[in-house]
Amino acid sequence: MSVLLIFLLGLLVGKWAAFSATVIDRLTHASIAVVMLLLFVLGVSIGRNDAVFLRLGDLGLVAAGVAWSCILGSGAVAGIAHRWRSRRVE
Amino acid sequence: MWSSIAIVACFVIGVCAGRWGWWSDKEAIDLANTGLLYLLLLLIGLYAGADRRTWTAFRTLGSGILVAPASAVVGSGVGAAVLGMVLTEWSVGEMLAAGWGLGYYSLSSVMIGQMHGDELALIALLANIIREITTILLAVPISRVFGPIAPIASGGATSADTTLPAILNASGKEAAVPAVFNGIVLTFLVPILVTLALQR
Repeated sequence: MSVLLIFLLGLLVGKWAAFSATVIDRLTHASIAVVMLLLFVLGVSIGRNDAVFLRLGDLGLVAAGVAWSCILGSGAVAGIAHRWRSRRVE
Repeated sequence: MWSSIAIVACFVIGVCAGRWGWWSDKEAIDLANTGLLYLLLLLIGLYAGADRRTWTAFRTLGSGILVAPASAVVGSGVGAAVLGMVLTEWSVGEMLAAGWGLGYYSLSSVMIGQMHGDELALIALLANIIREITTILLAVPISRVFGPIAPIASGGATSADTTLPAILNASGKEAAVPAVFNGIVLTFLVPILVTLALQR
């Protein structure tokens, strides 16, 4: 939950601080740099972990299942919503 | 596109570093992970809060423009939950956390790694990369089968950047505003949804 609080704190500070375009640009670059560092650290953690590393194939299959079930679910709900809205307009 | 490749390359270099023992201090890894995650969420919050489009998007809500983000959240939630019920090794909450990354693979995977563990973090990372690539490659058939909003919902948080050209190609120029709106709203929602899924 502390993760969420920090995000909300940043959101409120960002809203009220009225940063210039230059500062916003720097924030974007800084967040990309931090993402790269974080993924490097996540990679180190996964590379060190034999239990995870040796199951890359299995976990990749589960990941593909998650991705495609989410795409199908999103597409189906969007399709139903689109048809329902089209009927209402007619 | 290049930033996505660079980000994935950082992960691959990290895996090599971990595998070959270039960095083996577990405490330092955990400390770096926690500190960097807090810093990232603060930066994303500052960036999103300072971006006027975030607040304008919430102020100018029409019911129609909400269809894509609502479809992405509900559809991904249902899809991931069904998978969680089918797979015995993973719970519904774990699959929801991976699915509610909504294409935002960098943030969702590091959040899940910090809050839950490496296995689910890797699943979230790969799942959301596959989601992005599938949307880019299959936007046209997705649009034909499910309608013009479907590629936007399928792209998730990436609909405002990497998958936008494929979405416009599949759904037409009029999809630009809903796609960007969808990306902004979902980028804002990912940290909240992932946290909620892991609280279950």
